[in-house]
Amino acid sequence: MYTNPQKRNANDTLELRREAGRWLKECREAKGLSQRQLADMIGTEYYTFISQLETGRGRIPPDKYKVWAEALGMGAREFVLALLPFYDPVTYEILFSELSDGERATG
Amino acid sequence: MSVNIVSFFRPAPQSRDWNNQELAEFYRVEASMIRGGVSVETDRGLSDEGDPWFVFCRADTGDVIIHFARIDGDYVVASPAFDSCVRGRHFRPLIESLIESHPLIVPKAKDGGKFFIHPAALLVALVTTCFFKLGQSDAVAGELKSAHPTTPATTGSSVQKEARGGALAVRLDERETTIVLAAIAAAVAWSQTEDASGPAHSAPLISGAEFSNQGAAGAVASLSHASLDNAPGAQFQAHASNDVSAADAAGADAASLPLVAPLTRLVDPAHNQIAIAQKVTAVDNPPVVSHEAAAAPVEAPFVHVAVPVAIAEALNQTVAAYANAGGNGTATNSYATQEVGLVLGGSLRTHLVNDLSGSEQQLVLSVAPAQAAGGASSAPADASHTTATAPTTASASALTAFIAEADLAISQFAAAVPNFQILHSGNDFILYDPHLTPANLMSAAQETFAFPDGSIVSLIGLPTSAHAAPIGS
Repeated sequence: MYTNPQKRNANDTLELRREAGRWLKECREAKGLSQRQLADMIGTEYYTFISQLETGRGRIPPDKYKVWAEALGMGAREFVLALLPFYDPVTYEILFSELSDGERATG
Repeated sequence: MSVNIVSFFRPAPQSRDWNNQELAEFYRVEASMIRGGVSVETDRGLSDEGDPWFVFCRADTGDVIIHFARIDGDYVVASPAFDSCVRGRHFRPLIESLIESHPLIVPKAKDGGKFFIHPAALLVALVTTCFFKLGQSDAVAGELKSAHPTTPATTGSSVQKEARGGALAVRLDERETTIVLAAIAAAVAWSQTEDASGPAHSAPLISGAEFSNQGAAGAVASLSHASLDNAPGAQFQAHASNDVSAADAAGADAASLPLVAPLTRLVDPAHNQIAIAQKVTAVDNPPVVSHEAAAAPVEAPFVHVAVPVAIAEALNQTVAAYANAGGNGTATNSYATQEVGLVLGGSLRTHLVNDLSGSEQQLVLSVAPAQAAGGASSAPADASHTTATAPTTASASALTAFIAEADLAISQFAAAVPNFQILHSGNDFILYDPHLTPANLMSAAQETFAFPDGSIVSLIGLPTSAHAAPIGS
């Protein structure tokens, strides 16, 4: 399985993933979904995985970005752009360090 | 039987959360893996419906190794290592089926019979399987790897994977086998220490486990172990180190009791709260756990030092600062320092005290054993005391198990007495309930771990009913 490990300081990685978890939780709650409902929509067999992610443990597999975006009512591009600084800050900085905030939002 | 039950103030467990036994099992696996040199960490939580989950993660990347949950009453296990999720009403059969379908450790009974693996070792085997199966397993064993330059390297990882029976089996090289053996040995020995408290020792134990060894085809490492009935030395026992224990034990049939985990958690239904049980024992010449690796190249090493070095260094700084500030501590890298630092981590600083008055220090020291704090002890006559002494033999696994038990006791004490304080002196650490007073001194329960280097960790607890104004308030 592709995991895209980030060889950053472990504490940095955990804090970034916690921020990602908080953002995901906000998105889910904004859609009025329970963790179980979201898990059903994205095809996860165990809905506690959603709780785990929202706590900041682990990450959404890249091959699931599209289905997650759809479940949360977002475009895949928008979703990944919002998630990338948390999951892959190095790549994000390389791609978008020269862009304004508005340009970053649109990629 | 002289059994002192000490109730600690702890709310009743949530009905749907993991119970204490389940959590103890998970944390024992974590401790065993760390002992073996596998760099893992754990986390847990509750879903929005209150269902519990528990994950093991790689400490270096934070990636989840395996996810355990209980959903609607069913146990669920999922891991990227096997790309599927299994579910079942009973935990052990679930783990066994996973091990069978995803073999890292390939048990081969010489008589063709079925292997029985102790539950504690089973879970260690599963989590370790996932750890190695996910690859790039540097862990702490990176140091070991460099010490074995002849170990053949494979692309991206020294873990060799092969198709086997439709599932992806993983074969381990020598260093990885050593890691797994050490972790399993710690888990089994640790569990036996607890099992030994009961009269029935009929639980199936590891009778042999062979590990595929990439470095030497055909050579296997065997962790052989007899049943408890046949191995009287397969448990740690405490021997009394002060007059109180000796007197207590002499007058009661507790003299024949083995030491159980000193702060074993029990649910006291009468009071609907967690209780701490402590058994007094007086056994001279404590026997030791004997796990022997039949194949010399993979005899389980004592790798304890490699893990907590960073924490120990940080602790040493704390202790040094404490000493400079007027405390009587000295910075050392003792077992006690490392284990207290390993278990408590950064929170240690918040518990160290250096402003106790002379009388307050004397109060704490009066419960601590004679070895602690320079021998200034006059233990009360009714207090429940036990002292576990590290094995004097050169058995690495015995020492590892002893240290694992000390770690478990420290962590359980810290959980049961969240506002505990630490009195530090030289190589000795005394973790005590701050509600200790001359009035409740007699009801204090104390457990001490004496390490081979002479350093000591003492735990002093009180029943909830004995709480009064905290020391120093």
